[in-house]
Amino acid sequence: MSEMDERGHPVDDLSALLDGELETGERDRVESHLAGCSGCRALLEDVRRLDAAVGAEAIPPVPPGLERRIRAGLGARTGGAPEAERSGRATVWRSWRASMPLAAAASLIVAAAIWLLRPVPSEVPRPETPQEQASRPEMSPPEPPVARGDERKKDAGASARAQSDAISRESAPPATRPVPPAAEAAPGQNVASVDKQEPARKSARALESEAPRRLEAAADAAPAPVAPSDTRDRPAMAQVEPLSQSATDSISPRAAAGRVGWPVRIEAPPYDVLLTAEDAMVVSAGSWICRVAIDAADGRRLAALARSAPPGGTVAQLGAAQPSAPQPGATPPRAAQPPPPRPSAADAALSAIRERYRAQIEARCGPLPR
Amino acid sequence: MSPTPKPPGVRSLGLVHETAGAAAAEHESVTESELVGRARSGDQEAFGRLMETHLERVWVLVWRVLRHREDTEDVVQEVFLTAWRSLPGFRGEASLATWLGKIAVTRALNHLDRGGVKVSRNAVPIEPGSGDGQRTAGLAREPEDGRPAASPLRVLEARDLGRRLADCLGRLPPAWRAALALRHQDQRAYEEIARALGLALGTVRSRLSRARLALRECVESGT
Repeated sequence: MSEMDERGHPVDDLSALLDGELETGERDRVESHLAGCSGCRALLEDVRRLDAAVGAEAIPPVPPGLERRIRAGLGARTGGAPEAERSGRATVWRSWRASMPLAAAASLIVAAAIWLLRPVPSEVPRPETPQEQASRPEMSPPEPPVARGDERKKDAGASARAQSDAISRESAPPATRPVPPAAEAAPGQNVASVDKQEPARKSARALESEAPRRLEAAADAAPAPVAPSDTRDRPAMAQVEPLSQSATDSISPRAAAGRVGWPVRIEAPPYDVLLTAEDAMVVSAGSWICRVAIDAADGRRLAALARSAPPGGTVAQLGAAQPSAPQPGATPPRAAQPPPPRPSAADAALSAIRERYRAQIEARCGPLPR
Repeated sequence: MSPTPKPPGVRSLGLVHETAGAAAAEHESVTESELVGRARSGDQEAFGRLMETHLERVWVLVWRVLRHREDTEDVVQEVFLTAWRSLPGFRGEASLATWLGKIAVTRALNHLDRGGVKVSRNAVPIEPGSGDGQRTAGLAREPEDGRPAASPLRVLEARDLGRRLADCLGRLPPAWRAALALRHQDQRAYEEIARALGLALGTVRSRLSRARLALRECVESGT
């Protein structure tokens, strides 16, 4: 199943090549073509780059209380239908509300017709009939069961809100929603937020190369707001202390680790490593970038190491077994910084993980830059 | 390089600590099976533990398809409530993670279909079959002399790249995003993605390819 474009380039095969989904014969043919086609090589590199950036995109954390709400909705399986339908009703309600403007317009027309065709004109309003009373809830439906209760409980007047809500859902960009303080944001956003607030610190981050900045930007660009995570509801892996602003301020330019949610970022010059919630590791250095799937246990081990580093501490050197010399132009670590905890253990663990995935990384993206 | 399949249950329980290995895998597998068995017979606590383990992964998957926090919240609730109701019919042929992933993607796509939700609220979607993402797009700027083309993507400012990427992901057809989301979760094999989406293998391959090419073209063009 091989596809060539009209100019004979295996464009549609590059994605499958990247994913390791080509059969041997196909792969040989595509690789042979790549050896002589700079355009296809450039395209493959672009796709690989974008793929890594997509994988490193910051995802908003699970909202506080969501797990509790789901648990509350479970009910007994045999008799739990009304409760179990709550979340579905929330969505049905939303769709229903979206159709409210039309329904309201139709009702107005009917009401006007009834008024014009009434048999006995009278200045005195006649009392409502039981049928009319019964029909009123269709115009002013009750509040739906609460799925994300807080917001929906707060506002009443569903009929009036239906129109504005339907409109806002269509047009309001996610960015119009409130954004929580930077200290509560995801790790990538933490670092980026510091950059925004303190431009002077940018120079201290001089060893940030192109790819790490791209990753940060990708993390920054998550369109949905990031809420503080509710550690009570999160798996053990994500149960970490929020990083305070003061702690963020004292993060060393040479090494930093995010502490809330995902992705977890580790600066280990010359590499910048992002661990994603999907058990992937995105390693970048300069313009080189690579994303590989890693074992969940390795992901946890790396995340634990990253999170155990004190603010300002160096996590470890992921890229080199021996401590590396400071990068040219890099700001040296501050003298007051506390030494990293058990650096030898961290080094050993990181080296082991690096070596375990070296073959996979290099097969996918070429040699690890030194 | 084929993705290495993971033993069922190794990752999904979220209880794996530092000693991953065959024995641990076996243990975790049994543990998840036990929890599934208990949940199947109506044990809410057991289901709650399974949910703790899988909630974040389901959340990520649904968000990648919907790219809207409130919608994701609704759909994730639906996913777990559906799973709770349907668990008696879960035969364990696929891992629980795969089963939940299938429910999640189906529910997310249904949500978009049924609600008339415009995922990229202000943007023009990239339509399948339009010029975006077609084969010729990839090499439109290929130089005749065969020298490496200067990719605009590589000279983009970092922040621009991030913004454009987010925007372009939101403009991809949801079905393409679903394929990408499944691929990014655990680097799933095409065969597994095909099963989850109910598609032929070739369709998955084509969809992923077009999604990536469309993404690249969209990011580069900045429109």
